[in-house]
Amino acid sequence: MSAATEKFGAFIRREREAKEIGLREMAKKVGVSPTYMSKVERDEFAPPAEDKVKAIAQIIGCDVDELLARAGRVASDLSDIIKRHPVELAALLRTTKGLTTEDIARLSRDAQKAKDK
Amino acid sequence: MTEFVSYMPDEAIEKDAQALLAEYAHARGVTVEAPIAIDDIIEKRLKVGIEFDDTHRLFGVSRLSSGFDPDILGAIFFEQKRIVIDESLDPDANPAKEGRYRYTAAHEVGHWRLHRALFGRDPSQTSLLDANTASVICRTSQAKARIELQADLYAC
Repeated sequence: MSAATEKFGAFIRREREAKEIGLREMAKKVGVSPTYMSKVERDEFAPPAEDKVKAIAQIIGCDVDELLARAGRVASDLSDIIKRHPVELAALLRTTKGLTTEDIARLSRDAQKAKDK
Repeated sequence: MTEFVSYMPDEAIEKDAQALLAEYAHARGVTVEAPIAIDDIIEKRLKVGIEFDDTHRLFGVSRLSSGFDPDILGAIFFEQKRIVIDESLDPDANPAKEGRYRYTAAHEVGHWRLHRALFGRDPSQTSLLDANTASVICRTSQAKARIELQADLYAC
């Protein structure tokens, strides 16, 4: 419920505190100042650049793509993949609209199987 | 609010600070030695959040009007369990401020330990107070109030 609507900053702060990581400790690991980190956590500043979001995901132990989505972004490797086959991939992605998470996961597994053959 | 702060012998304040250090050392299984891990004590032992912000903007006070820069060093929100330190004291952005930062953080711990009970309020009135109402705002220009002196002593 709240997890879906919780903003980026509030989310990473809650996860950081749950893992008993200090604000300064976290900022140092991510490579930003504690003041900047504090403002991101209060959602006063927009989420940081992709590499920083990835670093945060690793530190708090959550999925990188999920955290990027919460930051309102799509991983740059994904947009590169789409640009390589824009028409086909746009069609593929639009097809998944309306499918359940399970349906999409099954599609993904099938695609992997096809690829492995 | 500060006029309700009663006298407390210096030894009692010192004793509480020592007790907190002992509690922390015991809970973590560590020996406490200088420099004391003030962040860990606040965030992991007391479970109080540390934040940095432009406190003058936050509380609508001009940064330079008092002649002190910064005038507001920090503030504590008892209900929300958070301490806000002025961003000019960010010790990683300004390493020269490490000492000032640590002293301010320890001073806020003093408020938490010594004065939190004074602020226990009627829950039915909570809604009247907005989130930006700090319990104690610590200003250099008002450092002589008893509540501030007690917190200073705690930090020493």
